[in-house]
Amino acid sequence: MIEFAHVSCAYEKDRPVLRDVSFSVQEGETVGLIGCNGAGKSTVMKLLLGLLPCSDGKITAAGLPVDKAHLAEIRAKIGVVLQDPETQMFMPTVYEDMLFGPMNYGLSREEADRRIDAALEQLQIGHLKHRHNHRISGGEKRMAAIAVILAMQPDILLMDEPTAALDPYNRRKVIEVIRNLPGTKMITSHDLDMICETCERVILLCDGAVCADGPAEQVLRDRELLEAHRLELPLRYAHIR
Amino acid sequence: MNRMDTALRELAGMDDLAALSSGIHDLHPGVKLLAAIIYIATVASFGKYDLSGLLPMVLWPVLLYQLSGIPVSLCFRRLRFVLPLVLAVGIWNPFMDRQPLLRIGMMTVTAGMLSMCTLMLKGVLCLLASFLLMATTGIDRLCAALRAMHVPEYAVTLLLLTYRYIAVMLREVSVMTDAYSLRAPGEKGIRFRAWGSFLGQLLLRSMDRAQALYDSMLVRGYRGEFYYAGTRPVQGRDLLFLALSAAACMFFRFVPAAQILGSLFI
Amino acid sequence: MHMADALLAPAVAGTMYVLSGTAAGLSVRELRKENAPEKLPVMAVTSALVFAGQMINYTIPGTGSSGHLCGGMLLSALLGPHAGFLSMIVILTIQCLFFADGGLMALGANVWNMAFYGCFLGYYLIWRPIMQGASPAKDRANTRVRIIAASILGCVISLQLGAFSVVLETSLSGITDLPFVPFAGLMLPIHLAIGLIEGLITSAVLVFVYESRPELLQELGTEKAGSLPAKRSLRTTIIVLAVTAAFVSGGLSLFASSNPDGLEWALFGNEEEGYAANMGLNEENFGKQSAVADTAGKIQETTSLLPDYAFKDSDSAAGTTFSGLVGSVLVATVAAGICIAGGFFRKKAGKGAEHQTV
Repeated sequence: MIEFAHVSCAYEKDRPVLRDVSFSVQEGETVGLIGCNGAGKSTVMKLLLGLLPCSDGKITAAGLPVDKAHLAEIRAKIGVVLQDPETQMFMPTVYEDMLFGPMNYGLSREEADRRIDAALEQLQIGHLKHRHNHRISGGEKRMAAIAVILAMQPDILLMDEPTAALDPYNRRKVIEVIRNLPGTKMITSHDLDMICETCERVILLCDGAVCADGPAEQVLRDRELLEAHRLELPLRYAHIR
Repeated sequence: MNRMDTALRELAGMDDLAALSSGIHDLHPGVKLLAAIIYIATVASFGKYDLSGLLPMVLWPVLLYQLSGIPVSLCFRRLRFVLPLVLAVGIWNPFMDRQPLLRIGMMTVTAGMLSMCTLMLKGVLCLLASFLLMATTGIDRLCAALRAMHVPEYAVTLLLLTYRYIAVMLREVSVMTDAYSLRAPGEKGIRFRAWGSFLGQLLLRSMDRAQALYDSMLVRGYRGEFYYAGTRPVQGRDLLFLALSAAACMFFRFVPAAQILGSLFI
Repeated sequence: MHMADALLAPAVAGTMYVLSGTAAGLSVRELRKENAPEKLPVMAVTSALVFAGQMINYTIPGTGSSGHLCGGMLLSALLGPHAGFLSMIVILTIQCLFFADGGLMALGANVWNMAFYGCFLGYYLIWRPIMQGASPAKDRANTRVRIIAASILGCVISLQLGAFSVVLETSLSGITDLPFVPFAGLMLPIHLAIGLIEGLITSAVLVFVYESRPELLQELGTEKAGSLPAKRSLRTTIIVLAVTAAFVSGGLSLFASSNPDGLEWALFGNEEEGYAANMGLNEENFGKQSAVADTAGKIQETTSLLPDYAFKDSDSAAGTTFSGLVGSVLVATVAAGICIAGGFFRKKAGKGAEHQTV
């Protein structure tokens, strides 16, 4: 579903953010993208959505090359839940925000409404439908932000720090939601315990290059590897010496 | 509680009022806007000494407030912006225009006093109307109506996005102001040396936010069009309301109701 | 400086709507031509920030008082005149609708007074001429001085013009008995002080932006400024501007003080144009009598959609008789009655609903 082949990217010359990154994600796989601050996680996401041009290499998403000609088609197939719901949700009410994506992709109002209700039902947040975006709590905002993307019924779901700034109860809820969602998913986070619970595979980025790529069980238990890249073992494996 | 928090609370209060349901809430927002403008223009058109003619105009909004379930008292709190200004202009009238008009007991009412009172009443009435409009409409329905009235998409989208981010910005400024005053006890505001960086920092951060916001619009297929939930065509009841509203304005404008009512009793 | 609905006659408010509406229409057209959709979120977030920034208290050194930001100059320096003007309109609309600051009918006038001068005059006559001479790459100190000069001059001049417009609009509306000259004499000096402080705040913010991200400022965008052939020196620009400003303000005060009815002259004196007739005025000393003027005068007597320059000894105060007074008391009673009845029925309905749920 997603393929990066020898991708490099630089905001400024001589200061590459990604260097020769290659990996591929199969359909139905859930992959965790981890790495310390500035490792290049967000850049990977932006490249995938065509928000940044890559200077070198080839990116494919949902069977299509990521370039100008296929941008609209690709963006219709990829849903991205941004780290800051405040930025993602720019309409006054949750309902209007959910309407934005489906309507832009040319669905009828009835079909859009059906999808919106299904997404709200799936996350059990029907009561938020007509609430104002600036009036709901942090946890509710996060759930609503996920619902906004689910209403677009994307083939690939990208999530940037889905559990950041959530209390334990809401974090647990989000984890359950992610586990129950079908489809291909890619999640970036520093919350490695969450990655443990939701992802079967983990890609570790460091200084713009792939340092490790393997089953979550294996990568996240490797204390030496994680600590070498300014990360810590997830709490559940903290007893491993 | 700083000014930003007060503003946030007021904004939230308006949202709550707009979320109530009543016959007035359900009216077409464009029709309500038109009715409010007619009402305000009528109020403003009363002569500067015509206090007794103007007073019955209060009946129409008061009736609508009751029908829509919006407490009139909430509106009076908003008078703090309008009244001081109106007063500042009107306060001169009693001094400049001392022509006596009426004697009640020992007190002489002058033309200037009368015109000042008329001016103040006008201020209150205009506010009654525009507050009712927003308290029963809300931003989403308003934007939908503006679009339906062919106001350019560009302007309406800007209004909608600005409204959304005002809440975010108010919260940020509020937190920053609190953080500042915690480290600078005894200061009433932001001191000269910090003027630029205080707002400048926020501004730079906002630019990044705007970029992220645009990305978020793009990945959800933005092509220059926003979609509004609250669109519906104008119906019979909307026109009935508009006609009633205009009729009430015209009636009170041309029939000195208070005068007639008064003469019945003396 | 927000005008209230009550201070304007409908005809004046309407005129201001037409003026501001035209400027807004032109701005939208310019922005469409520019076709930069990515500018929209920037405008929205910046205007939201200016809205919030207006609420910050800035303490003025040496005094106990505090100043505020208005934003027209700041927005046009950051976004350009057209985008800045639209952003200001949106800010003023939200203030008027959601915070009851200004009025629905006065919006046109408020946009003109507070946004037009700062955004268009401030940009084209002050910001651009001053900034065009800047060479940000070479001389940072000079550029900084230019930013400060442009901000302060821009804010002062646009606020003076705005305050003058407020006086003009209020007087034209015939609301206050305060004669034009003392009214202007009251407003302009106050706004000179306000403008100075605003200018200082605006320049502080713009200098900060210049130090950290100069590419955000209009007219400092690298290639455009550099390619301009004739660079005016800062001193000439400022001198030219100061002289213009002196001329304008001198002219305005001359016009205002030439005689106490300078304003009335403008309104009634122009006989050939039939201005008095157009305005529906029927004053003995001004304008010629004509059938049109008579009819217009009659209309004006019953409605005062147009400004009401009722003279002190006219009959318009006749409404205030004793019966009018009694009637007013009765009306107030009826209004209170509606409120009480409304509350009563709501309570009843509320109780009914409770019973249904129990």
